[in-house]
Amino acid sequence: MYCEKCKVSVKSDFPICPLCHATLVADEVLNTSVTTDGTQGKTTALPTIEYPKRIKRVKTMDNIPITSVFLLVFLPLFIMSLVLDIVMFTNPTWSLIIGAVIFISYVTARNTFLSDCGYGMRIAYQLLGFILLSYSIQTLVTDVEFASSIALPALITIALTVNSIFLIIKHSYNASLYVSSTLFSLLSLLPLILALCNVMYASVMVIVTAVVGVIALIVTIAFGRRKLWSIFKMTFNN
Amino acid sequence: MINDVQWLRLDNSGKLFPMLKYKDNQNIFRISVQLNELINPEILEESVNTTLNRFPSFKVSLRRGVFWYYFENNPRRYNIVKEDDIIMRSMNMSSNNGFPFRISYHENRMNFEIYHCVADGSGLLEFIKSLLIIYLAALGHNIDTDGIVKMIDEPVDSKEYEDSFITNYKKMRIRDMSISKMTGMTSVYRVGGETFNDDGKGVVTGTCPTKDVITLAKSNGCTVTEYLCGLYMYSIYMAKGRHETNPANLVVFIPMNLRKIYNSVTLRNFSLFSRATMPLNRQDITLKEFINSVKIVLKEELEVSEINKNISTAVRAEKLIAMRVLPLFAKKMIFKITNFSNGIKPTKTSTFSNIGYINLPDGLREHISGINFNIRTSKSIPISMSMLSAFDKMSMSITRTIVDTDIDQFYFSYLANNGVDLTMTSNYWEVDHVL
Repeated sequence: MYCEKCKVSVKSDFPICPLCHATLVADEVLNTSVTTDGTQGKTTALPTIEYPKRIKRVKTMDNIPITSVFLLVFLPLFIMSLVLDIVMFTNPTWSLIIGAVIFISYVTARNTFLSDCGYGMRIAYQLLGFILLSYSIQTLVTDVEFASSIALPALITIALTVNSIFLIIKHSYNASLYVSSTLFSLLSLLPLILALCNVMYASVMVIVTAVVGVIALIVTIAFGRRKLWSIFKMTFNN
Repeated sequence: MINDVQWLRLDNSGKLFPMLKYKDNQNIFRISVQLNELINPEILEESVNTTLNRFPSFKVSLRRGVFWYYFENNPRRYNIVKEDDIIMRSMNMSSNNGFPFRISYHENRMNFEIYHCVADGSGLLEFIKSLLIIYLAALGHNIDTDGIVKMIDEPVDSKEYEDSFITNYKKMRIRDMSISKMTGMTSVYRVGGETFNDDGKGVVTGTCPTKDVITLAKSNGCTVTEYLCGLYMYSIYMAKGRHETNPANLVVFIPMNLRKIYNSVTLRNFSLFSRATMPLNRQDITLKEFINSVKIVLKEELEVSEINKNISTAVRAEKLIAMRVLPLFAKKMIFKITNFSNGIKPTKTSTFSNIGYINLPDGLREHISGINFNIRTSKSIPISMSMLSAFDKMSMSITRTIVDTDIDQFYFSYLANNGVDLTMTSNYWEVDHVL
């Protein structure tokens, strides 16, 4: 094909010039078939389409990374709890416990499951998370019945519910949502474990949180077992 | 000796790229090789994995450290993919089994899209040459390498993965650093226009006999790079910049390969930028003036003393105590803020990259029908030009994130009207907008 306006040959099945978009005219010379073995004849002709066909894209949630889900769910919760903490003056530390839980979840997700960190950095992050978790537990042990038995499980339940809504509205589930759902589900068992160890008071909220968490965990594992397994393999093969 | 490198520091210029990594703005470039027969994906994948064992600086994954990013040896298998319709699409580093590059195929073409922190064009070409020999050998074509291809059983020289910036660094005091020259403190003209969605890019490639361009450049009393870069700047000026009401400087970055100057064999990044500048304050700037501006800048910047100073400035900046002790997240924050301000007020209008003549074994001539080179564009710098020549053909590509093809049209029509026999190909990304 040839563009008379731009004076260039065009190697394409598309009938317009890539420069001026005028209609191309056929060029007899270019129509001569080229063959795979370098000779002219009946062997397979090389394709003239230079690039793959363009795909119409529909925006999906596939590209939402796990960290975005975490931040979307947890940051508003943390801000809400901080505001409540300041307004109510019930206890100055329980919102910080929420903050610590958020941070641990975040670093676990960002730096362990889907990480581009080396092993040294992963261990460092986990160590930091462990220190914060220890601090949170110690605070729970010594203080704050309200925070430990009502506020913390309630917030985890809300986070779990929001995450489950993500899972339900998503048509083709992606792996990061399954990971976050598993993490939230496991976190929801924490208040119950602490209550069983007599560290804190086992309120109705604690039991509700644990029940919701177990259901969410079963559903997540039932539907997302393959993707979770592939992430597990990817993480530990690394 | 086969790959025994467990980890590598990123080279001096490579250190910058992951810092400025955004989802839709990764510094990726692409070299594609068109063969005379359809690609066999299984054999290609096997060949890639064999070749990777010979190139330790490619067999890596990018990791975050406390102070800098670094490369870690990647023992996993590389899986090739079918070519995506979006050229140089942003990479997810956790896909591709953690490799910071993408090797794809489409019909009779294989494509290498690589994150710039791994290598520059010349480094990648060494990898491609070896891969081609191994791939074609697996298909039953034994090709004489003419001693210019790194063979799989050849020992790995540690100089192949050295940071040549560090090797050629000469001690420098902070006050002697030419910071303003490296960052560019001029007001820069920015090419405007409607941009594509979803990371889409338009690519127009013109292939022509190299001798046509050499003849044209000689008749204008300059080298091929000077002529084509001058013409590229002139095309931007004629198609867009001439109509600007607020005149600024048209600034085009020209990467210079430093390997020959310093006798380096590194496969990693070893290039610096020259900055061709032309103030767009007149309506009657001629092509000759643009060519002269490129000529002057290339002459100045190719002075060894000047290059020494630029290398030392780049390395000295990395060695600053403040840069060393800042943790990675803080460095990233600073770089991203700086880059964000560059996005508002960019430091260049475009990039013009000429790899030059690729020295390929003569036996490959009958198997290769073309080689193309593309560099990535972004929304703030929406057009770039890249070229290379192999055997007796030159391939010139314009990549853009804007819909308008005025610059491409002016550039290629000008060459065609001056006797260059051009054959064009395109991905017609703009076609939804024009039909």
